[in-house]
Amino acid sequence: MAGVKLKNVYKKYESAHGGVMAVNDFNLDIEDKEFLILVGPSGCGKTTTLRMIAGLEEITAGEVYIGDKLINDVQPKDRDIAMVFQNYALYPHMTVFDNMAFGLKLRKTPKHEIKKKVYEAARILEIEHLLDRKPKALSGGQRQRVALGRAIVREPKVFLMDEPLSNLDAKLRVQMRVEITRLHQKLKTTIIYVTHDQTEAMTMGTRIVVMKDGFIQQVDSPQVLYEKPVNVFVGGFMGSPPMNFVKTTVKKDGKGVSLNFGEVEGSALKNRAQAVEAKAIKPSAIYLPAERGAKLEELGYVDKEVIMGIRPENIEDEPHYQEQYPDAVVEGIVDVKEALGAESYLYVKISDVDFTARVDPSNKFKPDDEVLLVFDPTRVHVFDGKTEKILPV
Amino acid sequence: MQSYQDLVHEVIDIIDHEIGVVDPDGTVLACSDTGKIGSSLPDTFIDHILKNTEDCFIIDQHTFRKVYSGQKINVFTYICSDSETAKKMLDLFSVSVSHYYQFCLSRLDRASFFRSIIMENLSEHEIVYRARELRIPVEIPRMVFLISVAGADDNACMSVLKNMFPDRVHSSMFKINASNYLLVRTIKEADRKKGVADIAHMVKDNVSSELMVDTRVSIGTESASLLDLKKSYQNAVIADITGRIFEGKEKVADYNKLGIGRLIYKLPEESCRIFLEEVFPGGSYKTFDEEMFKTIEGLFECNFNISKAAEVLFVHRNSVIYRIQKIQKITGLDVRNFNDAVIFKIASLVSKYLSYIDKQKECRI
Repeated sequence: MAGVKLKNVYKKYESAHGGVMAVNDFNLDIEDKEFLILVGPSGCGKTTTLRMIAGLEEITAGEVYIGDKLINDVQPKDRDIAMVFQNYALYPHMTVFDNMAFGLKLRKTPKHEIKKKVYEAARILEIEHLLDRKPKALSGGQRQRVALGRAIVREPKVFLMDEPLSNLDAKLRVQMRVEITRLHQKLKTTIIYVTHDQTEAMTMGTRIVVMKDGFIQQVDSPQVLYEKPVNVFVGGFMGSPPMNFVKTTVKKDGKGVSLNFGEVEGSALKNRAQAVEAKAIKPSAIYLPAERGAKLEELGYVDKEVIMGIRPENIEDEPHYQEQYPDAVVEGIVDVKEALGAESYLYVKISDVDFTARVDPSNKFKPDDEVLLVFDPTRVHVFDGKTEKILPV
Repeated sequence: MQSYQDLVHEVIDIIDHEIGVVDPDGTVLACSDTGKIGSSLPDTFIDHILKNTEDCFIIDQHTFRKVYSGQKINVFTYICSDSETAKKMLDLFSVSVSHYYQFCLSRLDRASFFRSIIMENLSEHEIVYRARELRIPVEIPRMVFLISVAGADDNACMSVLKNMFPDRVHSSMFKINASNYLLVRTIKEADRKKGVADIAHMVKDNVSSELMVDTRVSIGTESASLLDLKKSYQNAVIADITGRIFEGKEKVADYNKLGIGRLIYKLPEESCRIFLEEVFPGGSYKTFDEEMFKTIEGLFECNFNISKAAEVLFVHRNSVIYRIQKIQKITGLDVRNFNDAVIFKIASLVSKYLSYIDKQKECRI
């Protein structure tokens, strides 16, 4: 077992116009036995990073260590890692035992050792009873476990997994998420896992790296990433349904500092101004708690534009919140209601801006209903309007 | 590998008469008069040949000899002469043909046969003849996958491929050079439904994970018959090259999905250089950074909707506008305008292609 360290790692794909930087100044210490997730949209550089660790992609600059050993020039097969990919295929004519033993046979591992390793991996994966079966006699989940078994028998220092669940149906994916998490607990080894699915990232990782355009945006535990995103991108990427964002103007009056949206300034928005005038669109204001408001004022944001972010579950419909936060109540019109059983999503228009609220399924709202909602002012995220970075308020 | 025709070529200067090899149906497989290859002997000849019980016989001043494979007649050899000397020459030639056939049998498995089709100039008749010998259907849809594996152990790579596709009737694989392997696979309806790209991805991922090597897979075109198989291979090679030029990061390239890169790859170099100089005088595009190119890509993806592109690129709308204006200042092309955008896109692909050509030239030097 070993940790992995990436120091100032860059990956540039050469092209006529000088090249495309797929990974930019990537610095990360992955601890031994950690389950680290690389997540981000397509083309963000997560797979390239994983492939550089594996040695399947050349590093343009920087250093990669496994344990204390610099592995930049070590052949992939000698890096003591195992990879699990998305498009796995079991050898159809071989038994589960032979499928798991195949890689070891290629490496000329002695027979008695192969047997020991395969049985041990089968025990961990709870597939001992399937060792004599052929792949066609296995369920989807069992096949996936065999595929993992092929990596486990190598007893690598680090497992690298590149979207291994992407090809599975939704139900099996959920099942395998749990299986892989359990496997990590049993194996007590380092796993680096690439996914574009934020739910996978949130549920499986002990730490998550959010990437965009080859840059690390934020590295932290799932909970911290969710609760304290460092910028609009991370806030929007992590969480489903995603965080609501709206551009607001910071104002200060006798009641305190507020975030205002649905207001109209300037002649370019004349029609909208008329709509506001005709009360077709009502401006909304969220007053921040005194301490947060003071910090925002201190930072010089009064009368400036900021981006307000609020998670669906922090938009409240219960009346007691209106009493608790009377200065954070907004009026909205229900567009769509999605009942999911344990919870409901309300898609509402507030000051002509679309918001998603997660509410109790027992509420009786229906489309076109006018609703009073509370934006929990203690949970509102405030980002700089230009840099889109979180403000320390 | 030799073929019957190669044998004929070897003796053509020694023997002054027309000499050839005929299959039991009377089709000329090889002949010193190449115009006769593939033609059938006159029916009267065939009747005589089939009815004749002698191993060596003369028909209309042509000497024929049966060449056996075990108890079965494999082919006939003939020489256009009935002289004793000619007969002796034919005997010697027949021995060579027989030995050659045995040699082929000993090493000509399905994979070797497919390799011969792809890598050599087998005549159509020879392909059909050998396919019949090996009981390989001629008219069946097949696809060639070119698998590029850098630095893998040969046996290990073949072992992975063979075990992935154990059905020898429908799949054959062989090595063609230091780092390239070919998989020739019968395409079934299920493969078409699932998409042949899935097979390519599966090969790429399996070889990569088993051998820990960087693997690329290029897909050729579907060939309806063995006679088109070479074309499928050639297209897989084009897919590989164009994939490397235009989609360097992608590890699977499909000839049927090369897009505009396919056209640019076929353009003459000089025309490309003139076009590029016309669009970007003095190589002005070289001053662009990757952000610029990403912005253009984003705009194309979003049908030139700036707000949507900003969303996809995770940047502010104003940043997109600023970059567009910068491109216009440098090149005079306003990529919000469809015509200009198309010119810009093609020019950027042409520049990639020329960069590839320049690199190739450097390597040769």
